Amino acid sequence: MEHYSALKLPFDATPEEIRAAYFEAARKYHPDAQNGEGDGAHFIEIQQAYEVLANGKRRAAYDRSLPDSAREMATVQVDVRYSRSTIHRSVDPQLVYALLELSCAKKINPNELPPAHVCFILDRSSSMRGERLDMVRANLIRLIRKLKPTDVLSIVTFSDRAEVLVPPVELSDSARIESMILGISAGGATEIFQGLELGLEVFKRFAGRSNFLKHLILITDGHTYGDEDRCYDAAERAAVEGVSINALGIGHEWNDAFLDRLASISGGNSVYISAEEDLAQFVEQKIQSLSVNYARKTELHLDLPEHITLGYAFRIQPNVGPLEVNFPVQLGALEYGRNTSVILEFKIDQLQTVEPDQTIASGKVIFEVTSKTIPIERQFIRINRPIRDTWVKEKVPTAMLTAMSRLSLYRLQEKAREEAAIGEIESSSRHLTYLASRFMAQGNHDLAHSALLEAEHLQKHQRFSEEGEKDIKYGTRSLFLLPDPEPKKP
Amino acid sequence: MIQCPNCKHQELPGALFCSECGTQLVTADTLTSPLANQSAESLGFDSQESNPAVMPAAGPFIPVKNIVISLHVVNADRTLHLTGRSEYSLGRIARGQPILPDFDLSEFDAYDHGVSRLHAAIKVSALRISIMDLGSANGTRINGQKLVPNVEYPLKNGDLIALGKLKIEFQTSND
Repeated sequence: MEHYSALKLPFDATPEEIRAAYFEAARKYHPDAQNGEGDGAHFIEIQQAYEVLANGKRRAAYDRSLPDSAREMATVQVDVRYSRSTIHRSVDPQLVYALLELSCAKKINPNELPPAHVCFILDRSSSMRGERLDMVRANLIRLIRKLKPTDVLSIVTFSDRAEVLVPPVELSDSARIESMILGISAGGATEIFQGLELGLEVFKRFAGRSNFLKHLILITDGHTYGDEDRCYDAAERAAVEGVSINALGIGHEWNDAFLDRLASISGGNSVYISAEEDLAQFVEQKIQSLSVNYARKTELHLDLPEHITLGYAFRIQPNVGPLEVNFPVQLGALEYGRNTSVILEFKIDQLQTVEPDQTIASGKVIFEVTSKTIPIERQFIRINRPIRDTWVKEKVPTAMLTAMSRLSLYRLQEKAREEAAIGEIESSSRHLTYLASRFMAQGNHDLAHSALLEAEHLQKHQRFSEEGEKDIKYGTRSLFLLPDPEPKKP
Repeated sequence: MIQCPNCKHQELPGALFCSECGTQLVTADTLTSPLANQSAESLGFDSQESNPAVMPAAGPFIPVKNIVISLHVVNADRTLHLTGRSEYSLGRIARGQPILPDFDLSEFDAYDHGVSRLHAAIKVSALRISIMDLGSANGTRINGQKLVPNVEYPLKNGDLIALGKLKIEFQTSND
């Protein structure tokens, strides 16, 4: 096995990175490892890789033996924009926002991108019977017809148990797959864990060709009971395997907080399907993004000083949605031609250093470009601001302000939901009313109306309606997909 | 702390929007600048900025009298010259209106062109000239690009400003 890949390292790994990667891998794959995945053969590969890479001379000789393609230039460029050009030396807390943008720095021929393995985990519980299943069948078939013939598809169906309907197959024989999809019948309860677990199993069994970009699409219309934690656990394993999850909820009787968290753990997001158009639109976007995916398993690692915390992380593009603030933050797949943009909110408790600047966070983005000889790439990130002794007025960059104006609405609805959940009905409905007036000011009358209706419902029933909470949440999220009003700089 | 001009909620310095009501706070940030402070006093127009609760202590004011700016109203082929102040609000005067704009554009069919009563403000400083839409009904555009309300955008000689549909060419001696 190629040594860098054995240790999951980039070609330009530093000696510290090599040592850290070795200890981590050795712990995990040692044949006597307690909770790890003891694997004698792989452990020997790790040992050999470390012996070569840790030794300057042997590493240089090894590098020379690699094909030129191993020295390929970086694929991704990371840009950081800030809400302020300086921060304030002060004993009081302050906020700083950073807009992280990952863009593809290389010209890529879309025809040379690695194939995708898409696994559908399809809820076939009795509530799916009729229209919902028909809609899913029709859109699945539409998607299959548009995938590349080299892409691989698999389908798992589940109710209170799960079965593999279509094992991983190349799409050259799509007629047979289509007839299997048409044969799906509904019945039983919803146990999401059963479906997820079998879906991950399908990816694992298909591991023979490892360069596939792995996408898991969960489609459900119901609540799952009692297996949430096992689902989160499965999503964490999915992230480790580089599988990102899109979780689609049909109708409004499903738990959006659960699906959101499940998906974000793996770097994906949740999607609200209130009508057939939503599913058709999702399928269209997924086909689009599958055709430009060039990297997977994107992870953001950051170290923060003690007096600084990351309060909130939100991806504004693609796969709009909140991110888990545990490091590493999973960002899923990267798309060619469309940046991955993330907003980070940092809270600085106090700033008393005498240094002229402050590193707010430092770390790296790691991802796998599976078409490369050495797939792992890493870009260092440093989020840093000069310090001033006075608080000065500043003009906020328009891109940042646009994104934050949308995010402020999203967080306002989050706040209202949280308050309603703990019985603070008055302040929850006050926030909904504020939200409605913001929507109104932006000319977004439908959302304003939904927010006002929901405030009324809240007063009457002391809780949100399942339909209203999703309409507002996903409606606010969809604002991020609007074109930027940003004026072009002359 | 920053106080939201809309709901009086307290936010940490650096916050861009009020977490309570969603109001954009960057105009509140602007207030700590001596220049903006002076202009709000001298004009006294009722935007969020003149809220006394968020007025900081007054700072020194540097006059910018030497800068001459001209607004050429395209469809009327008339030019207005502005000088001697650091801020000019543009709009039209209607009956019963409590706050008047510095420049009334009524004679240029402002109403039919969709100009609001307080439409936009031009700010002049030694460093730069900027324009800000004051939350007008039909918006303000610079060279066709729509402005986000209550955010300042730089203006340069020859820029085409559109207040609703009323087109004005911006000219300055300060380029």
